[in-house]
Amino acid sequence: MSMTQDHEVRPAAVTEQHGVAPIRPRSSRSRRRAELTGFAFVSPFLAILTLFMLVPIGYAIYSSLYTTKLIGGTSYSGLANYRTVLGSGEFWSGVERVSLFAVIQVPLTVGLALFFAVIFDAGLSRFGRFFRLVYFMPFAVPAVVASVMWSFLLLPTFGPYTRLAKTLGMHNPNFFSSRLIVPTIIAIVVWEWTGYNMTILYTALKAIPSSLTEAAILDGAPFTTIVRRIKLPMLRPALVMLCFLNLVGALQLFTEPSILSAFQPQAVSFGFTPSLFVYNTAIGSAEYNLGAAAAVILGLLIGGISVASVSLRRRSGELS
Amino acid sequence: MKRSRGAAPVPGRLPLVSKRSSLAVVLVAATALTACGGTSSTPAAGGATSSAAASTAAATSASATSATAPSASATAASQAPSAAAPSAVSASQKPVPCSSSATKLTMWGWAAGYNLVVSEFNRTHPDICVTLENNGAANDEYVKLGNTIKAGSGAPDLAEIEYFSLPSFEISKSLVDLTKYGVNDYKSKIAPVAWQQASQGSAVYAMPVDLGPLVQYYNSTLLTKYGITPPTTWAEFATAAAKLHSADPTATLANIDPENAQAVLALMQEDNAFPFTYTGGSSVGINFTGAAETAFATYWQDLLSKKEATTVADFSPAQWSNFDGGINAVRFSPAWGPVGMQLSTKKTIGAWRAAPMPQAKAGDNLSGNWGGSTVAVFAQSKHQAAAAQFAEWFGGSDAAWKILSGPIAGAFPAYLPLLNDPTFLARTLPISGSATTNKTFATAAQHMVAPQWPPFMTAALTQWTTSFAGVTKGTTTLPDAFKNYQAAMVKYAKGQGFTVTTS
Repeated sequence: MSMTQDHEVRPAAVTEQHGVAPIRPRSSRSRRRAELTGFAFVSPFLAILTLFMLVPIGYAIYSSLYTTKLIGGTSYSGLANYRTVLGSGEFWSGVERVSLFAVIQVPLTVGLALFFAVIFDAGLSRFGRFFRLVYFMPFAVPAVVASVMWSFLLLPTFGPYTRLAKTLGMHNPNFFSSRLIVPTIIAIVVWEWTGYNMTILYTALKAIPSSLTEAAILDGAPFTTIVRRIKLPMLRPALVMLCFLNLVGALQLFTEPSILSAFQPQAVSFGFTPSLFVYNTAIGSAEYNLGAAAAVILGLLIGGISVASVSLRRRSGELS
Repeated sequence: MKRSRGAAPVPGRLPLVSKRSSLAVVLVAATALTACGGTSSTPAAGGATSSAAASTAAATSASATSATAPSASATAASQAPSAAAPSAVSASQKPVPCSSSATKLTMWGWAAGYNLVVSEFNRTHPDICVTLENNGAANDEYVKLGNTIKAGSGAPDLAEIEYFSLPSFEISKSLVDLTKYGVNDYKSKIAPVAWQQASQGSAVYAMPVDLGPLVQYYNSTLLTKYGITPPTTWAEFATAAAKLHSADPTATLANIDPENAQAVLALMQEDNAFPFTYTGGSSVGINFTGAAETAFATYWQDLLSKKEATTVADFSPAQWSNFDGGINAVRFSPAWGPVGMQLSTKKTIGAWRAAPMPQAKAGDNLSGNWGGSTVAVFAQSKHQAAAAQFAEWFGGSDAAWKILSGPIAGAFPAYLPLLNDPTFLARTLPISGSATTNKTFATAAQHMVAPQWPPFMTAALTQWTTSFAGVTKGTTTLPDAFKNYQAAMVKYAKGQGFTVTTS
């Protein structure tokens, strides 16, 4: 931000110098050198971006405009695949489900993470370092492994949690029933991601100058006031960013339900989440073109949310 | 960038600054781009992430199926009951030294013990060298095969393919007609039900290996206790189910897993109510709502409504516990079933006997087939003759079957010399005590009407789970699920350009 302001002051000087001939060639050469250096720096990133992002996206958009039939082969079909996806109740039910999922999971994860981060930052826990590691550990477990693990732990009739619930007087709960499957996945995802969010918030808290807190303490501010008036406002950018990242992650929910469906096929339907809809359409039903169209629509949905969120953050001054 | 360009002409230190700052701008832009990877490029991220995730998931589901043998076999089996039981995949393969002049072939397959058969072939056929690769079980493998076909390269010379998936590969002309490589010499040695499923018209697209004929596999101790003899008709079966359930309310005669397409379709086949017809070309028959099919659905819904049958998932721990705990007295077991069941049976070891399936019409002796594989040669192969020779040896030789029917592979033969062999028929398993159950299975294998599979079984299996999940949950009935499935499959087939007949 300071850089921008710096430059904005300058234009007057620039116009004055504009016609000075001898300096121009040198500057343009050095400018080109600078650009080349810059390009050299970004080229590995650009190469990977092109190879693994731009080309696949281009291919997805291209194939979404065609239809391949077992009888009759491939033909151009314009936006027909998009109409099919947009008119599919299955696709929208998945969008609805992940939206509900996000509305519960995002605040829960960020809230819990904030709670733990504040406690550890304030030194209220005696074994802070140990517990921080313990809470972070689930993040180190790959989502696939975590899903397999939880699907065993929550197994109907035989799983230890099911037995525990039974001894607590609940009547043989089925964590994979149609009513409990979303809460079950929320629990798994919260378990996986709280530690990661907590670590980010903890780091952000550590970056708050201790002089501020000390001054507040000298002024006699109680702990809750310090948290509410100093720490929370200064954490705002980190909190907003985490909410946004969690939201995008939630909308792309795939790994957990797809692994659970291998163990409990009746619990996870064809279009349980939009990503599963894409996968099952392309791989499960071998309708790759339709799957590509669904992927593009899902991408646009998430892209729209991202753009909205970035412009919101820019307006509130968190991004420049 | 524009602004720093303006700054450049200032002499002295400024150009340096500008250089630095333009570099900085580029770097910042790059970082921002990276940081916003999830943001600015999300139309991308959506597609790319899901496809990447998709392939990971495919890979993991494959490894999950193989790695977590008994309980994950629920998945493996519901999608893919191969004859050789959905277990072992990665039995360590001894690399067989091949001569450098040998014709090199690659085979994809997952069934247990196939590596031993391949080693035996390489040992006895030094001019051909086959390498076995495991690319996931059943549908996982078929998806990968489909990708190689779409790409036009990368397919193996040979692959293990279950009967029901053959038409899906035949329609894309991906398989080699083996008749030009002498496969018809083996016709008299293979059970007709297997041969017909591998054929289309006069062409034979795969060498049949094993079969999964259904029998009524029952807990004799439990049935004797309540004075029930194995029913011979479905009418008798319903009476017996009511009798057992009223005598012991915790017990039910049978279990049907509505979500297991192959198990349900095998029962429908046995009941003369197989819903699909297909003989190649562009027309396909789909009929889940005909008289016989509706009668089938109503019959089972009736048992389910009266709690005289359960809907526990096949191969789940709960199912084994029900069999072993005297809750389910009968399993409609394919021939490859007892070997796996034995591993999860403790209390009722030795009590299980085999009887022919109950019949729709008294006096019939029909059975249905669940599972079983073939070996097919791919059109992409550059060594089709050698591959055909291997496939024919694999399914049609005593040497191969000696290993295939052995303790590791445990496959049930479509190979008649073994199917009729007195020693094979006299074999016993601990779970059945001294009973020679192979005799019942072998008889069942000879009395099956070959089903005609539609050329889009991957889609059919995917849709099946969606349509039938509600039956297990109790939120829909079997006849309604049949109607729902009928509509979905007709829509799919028409969308794929087929002429669909529905009666």
